[in-house]
Amino acid sequence: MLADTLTMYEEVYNDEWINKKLEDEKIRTIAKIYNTFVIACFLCKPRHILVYHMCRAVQLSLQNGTCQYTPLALIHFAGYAMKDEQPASIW
Amino acid sequence: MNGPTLVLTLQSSLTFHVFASYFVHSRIAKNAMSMLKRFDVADQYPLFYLNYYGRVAWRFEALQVCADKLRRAFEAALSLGHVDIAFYCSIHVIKNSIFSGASLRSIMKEIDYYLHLLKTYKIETARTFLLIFRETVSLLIDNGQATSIEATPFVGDLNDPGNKLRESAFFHKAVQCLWVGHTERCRYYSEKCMPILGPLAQLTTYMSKFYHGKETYMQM
Repeated sequence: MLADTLTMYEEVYNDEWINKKLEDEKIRTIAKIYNTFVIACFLCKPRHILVYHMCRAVQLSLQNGTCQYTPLALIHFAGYAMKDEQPASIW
Repeated sequence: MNGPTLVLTLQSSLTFHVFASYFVHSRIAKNAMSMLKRFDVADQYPLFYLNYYGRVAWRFEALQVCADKLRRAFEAALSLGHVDIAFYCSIHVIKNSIFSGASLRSIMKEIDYYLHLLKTYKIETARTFLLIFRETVSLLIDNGQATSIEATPFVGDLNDPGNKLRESAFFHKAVQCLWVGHTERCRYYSEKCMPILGPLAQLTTYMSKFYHGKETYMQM
């Protein structure tokens, strides 16, 4: 899921996406809930549950545009994706 | 090439390759930071700074800068009422200050200040982490003779794989043992904490590798 999200990010990230505002209130609320889940999962849930919610939050923004919850979703993704990266896959 | 040199070379080359892959993630983090300025989200700043300066920015920013920004995040989080985030920031402040080579006496004062605040806020996780850091700093200053306090961190069962404090406990034991001169024990603890820390992703992982390499070098 991390790799898929990263690929999607590389495909979608550009000025056009940054300027696309997420107007739908329902989707913004879902993004907020995903971000809240990530924080809640940090200490008390297995890693894969955290990664799932984190990737869903980023994918939601990549598909629909940016809102006030996008920077937080991206920084979670950057922070946790680094931790999950396996050195063996780099060789 | 002898054994220890080979270990050091392999660790360095692995670190280099992993760093190369982190470039992508660092770019995402920087993009997120620039995007944050576009939105009016004052209440998200502490959490964002905690993740940015605590988890990601140490790769491309000076550790002193990270510590300063996290200090600001601590104050902002406290004023906004996000006490949990504030004290997570405080742990990162202390960690960055130690690794950046700040004065041990000033770090000690700062830890005592946070511990004083924790008498009011009662966050046990943060208190345990800060006590672990305090133990290490006290040992580095005077071997704990004049600066130690009665309160000791409760780290629980270190053989329990579900214990989240294991990595911190083993890492600090490794640091303490190296500076006290128990190199064999330093090696033992750093080898114990490295599998828990996992792939090279956190500042602590790199420091653990550094202490392991330093211990290997001292035995050469």
